Amino acid sequence: MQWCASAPGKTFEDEEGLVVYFSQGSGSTHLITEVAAFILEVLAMGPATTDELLHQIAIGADDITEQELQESVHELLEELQASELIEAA
Amino acid sequence: MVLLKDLNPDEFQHRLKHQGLRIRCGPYVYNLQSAEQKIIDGLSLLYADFEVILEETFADFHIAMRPSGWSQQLRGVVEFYWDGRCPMNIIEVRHSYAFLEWGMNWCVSIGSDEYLKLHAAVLEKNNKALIMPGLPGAGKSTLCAALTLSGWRLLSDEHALVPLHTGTVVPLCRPVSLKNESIDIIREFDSSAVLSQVAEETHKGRVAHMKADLAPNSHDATPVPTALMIFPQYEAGAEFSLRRKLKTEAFMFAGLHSFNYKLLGETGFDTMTQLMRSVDCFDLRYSSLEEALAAVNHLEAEVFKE
Amino acid sequence: MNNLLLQVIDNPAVCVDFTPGQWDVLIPQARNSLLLATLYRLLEQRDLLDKIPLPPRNHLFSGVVTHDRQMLSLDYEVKWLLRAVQQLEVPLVLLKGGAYLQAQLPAAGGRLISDIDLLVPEPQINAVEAAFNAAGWLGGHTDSYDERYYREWMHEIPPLSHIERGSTLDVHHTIIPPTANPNTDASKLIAAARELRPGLMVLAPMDMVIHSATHLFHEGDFNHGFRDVLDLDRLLRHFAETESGFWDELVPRAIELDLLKSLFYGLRYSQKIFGTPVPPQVLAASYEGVPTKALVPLMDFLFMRVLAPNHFSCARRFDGVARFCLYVRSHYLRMPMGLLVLHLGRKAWKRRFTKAVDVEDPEYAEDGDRD
Repeated sequence: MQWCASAPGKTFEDEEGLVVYFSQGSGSTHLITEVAAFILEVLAMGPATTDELLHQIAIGADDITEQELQESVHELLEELQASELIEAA
Repeated sequence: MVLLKDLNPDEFQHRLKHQGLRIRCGPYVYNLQSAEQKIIDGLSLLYADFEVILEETFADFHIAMRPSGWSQQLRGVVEFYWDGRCPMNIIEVRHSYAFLEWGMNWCVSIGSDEYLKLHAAVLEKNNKALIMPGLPGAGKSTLCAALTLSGWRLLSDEHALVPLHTGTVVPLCRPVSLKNESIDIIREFDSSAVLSQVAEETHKGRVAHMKADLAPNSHDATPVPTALMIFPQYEAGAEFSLRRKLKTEAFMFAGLHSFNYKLLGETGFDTMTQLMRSVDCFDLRYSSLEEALAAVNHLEAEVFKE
Repeated sequence: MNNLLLQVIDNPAVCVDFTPGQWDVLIPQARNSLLLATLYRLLEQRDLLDKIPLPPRNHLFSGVVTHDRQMLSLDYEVKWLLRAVQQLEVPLVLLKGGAYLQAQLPAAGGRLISDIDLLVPEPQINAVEAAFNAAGWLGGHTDSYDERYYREWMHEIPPLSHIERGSTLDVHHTIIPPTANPNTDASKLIAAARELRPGLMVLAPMDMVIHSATHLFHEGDFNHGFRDVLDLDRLLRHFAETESGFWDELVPRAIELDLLKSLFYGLRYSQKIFGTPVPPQVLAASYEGVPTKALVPLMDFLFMRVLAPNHFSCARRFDGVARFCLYVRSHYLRMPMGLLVLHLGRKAWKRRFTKAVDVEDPEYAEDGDRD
């Protein structure tokens, strides 16, 4: 499955793992996790498949099993889609 | 500059009843019109040190409180007029002053989008501003009144007005609204506090307003740099706690309880970002007013020094 | 009458010399007419913003903040609307303010909207409603009386509100209640509509003008009457320049749609108020659409009152009477008489219980002006 960002966005970060994300398409603001922000950052550069995203995230995550990672990323993508931040390309 | 207390009572009442009395509050001029005794009393008590403008001027908000006709007059009710329209329910005469104060807030709440407006109390010390956003019932008004009576300058008990693309707040000092038990708490806290007559049985319970322009520069509308954001939470019997709050969470909370964050779109986001970069954020949970005051003063000493 | 707003719209440069006392009248006039943002854009186009004092300029700016946000939201909602009906291959025709904004007409400069008005072909209205429901726009707080009122007597389904984003849709299948004008064939409007981009249409220029006039003179709510006539003036001036044969074909088209009377009044008051350059022969031809010509002076008396900015500075004697007469008239035009009495009664009754406003409730601040 290929994903793209619904619209460009802007972020505000504090040091501790949460990111405020502003979507310029809808004008809505979301509090998202670092991983979600990372996905949006990757998609801002261009569309990517679920596998490509998984691969990129796995580079930074060494304390989690392959399956856990897959499950949580799938869930995250669904949530981002439901929040209208990403959509199927 | 003419202050309300300098006007002779006849002229004050004449203006209020007829063309309207123009009072400067922070960056705005209100034109107030009413013949109600409650309003005459409230204004002369709480706005005595406000500037009134006698020459022809532009008023930002035109408010009148009067019965729409003889039928309302007989029933002892009045309407709240804003630019000649009535956006609110009819008001019992005995509540008219409390509603005038709410109405004056309301005008700012629905317009004034040259500012990012947070629903918050704002105070100043050493030319640094403290912003206290809070849900109703969080005790922000009581704490705000107590700080005002303890050497802080009140900038607003309702609106943090942040000029767009800045990390500052513009003062809009007006009386502090106190509800229910806060009225007695504040009376006990400082017996010299000047309070309006209590409006009983409003939709918010008992309501009184406190004179709040107690600092020599209370009516200076120059923007003040922000430094501190405290989210107070009063809870009877709660153990005192003061914790640093994540700025991202503070951002979301303040945005959610802003009057126009969403409306301002990207400008709102940019302004909130700038504001958040200039403040330290804390959650304050307390059951004793003295403890809360001590904590705020302590933070002021620590944070403002930096 | 002290209609400063009209003077400024006519010639924006005059406000550069306004006294504080004149600004004190102009800003409330503009606010009550929903024209703060329109004034801001007019002054901006002429590079005059810097020449006016900051306090009133801030109020104009506040208007433009709302306008800009509405444009952004409209773009966003339209995107989702088109997706919702993608499978149906039904054209969505935007009406009124939403159409002016999306088509980037001069009437859009600073124009505020509240709901998104759509025209869809009647045979497909149920399918469209189902598609909107599936996409999150649901019918809200209507009781069964309201439901019947909308579906049977009006020209729309009850308003749909998006469960997440709160946007409101008014989906119409004709531009005038069938009870008022059974001869207006909406399929003709849809057939002539122009495509803005795939799936999204607006009425053809003449139809847009005729609808604007019809809407104005069949509405009971004249609170924004001044703004609505300004819409008409701007549409007329624009299309007269950009559409060849516009004036020649306008009256025949209104006859075809059986809306000549509304067009006549629209042209008449647009010209009377804003000096719209309507060719005399067009005005004369549209006058043929007025069945009871003896009533025209009375209508002038009523309309010229209610179409001024709704502010005491423009108030004249009998304003209240005029508003009431036209309110009754609009309902009389809309519905059979028995139903009218019932509806007015109910509306008044309901208003008593729904007017409560909590001034300390920050949510209230988000309730923008109503269209």
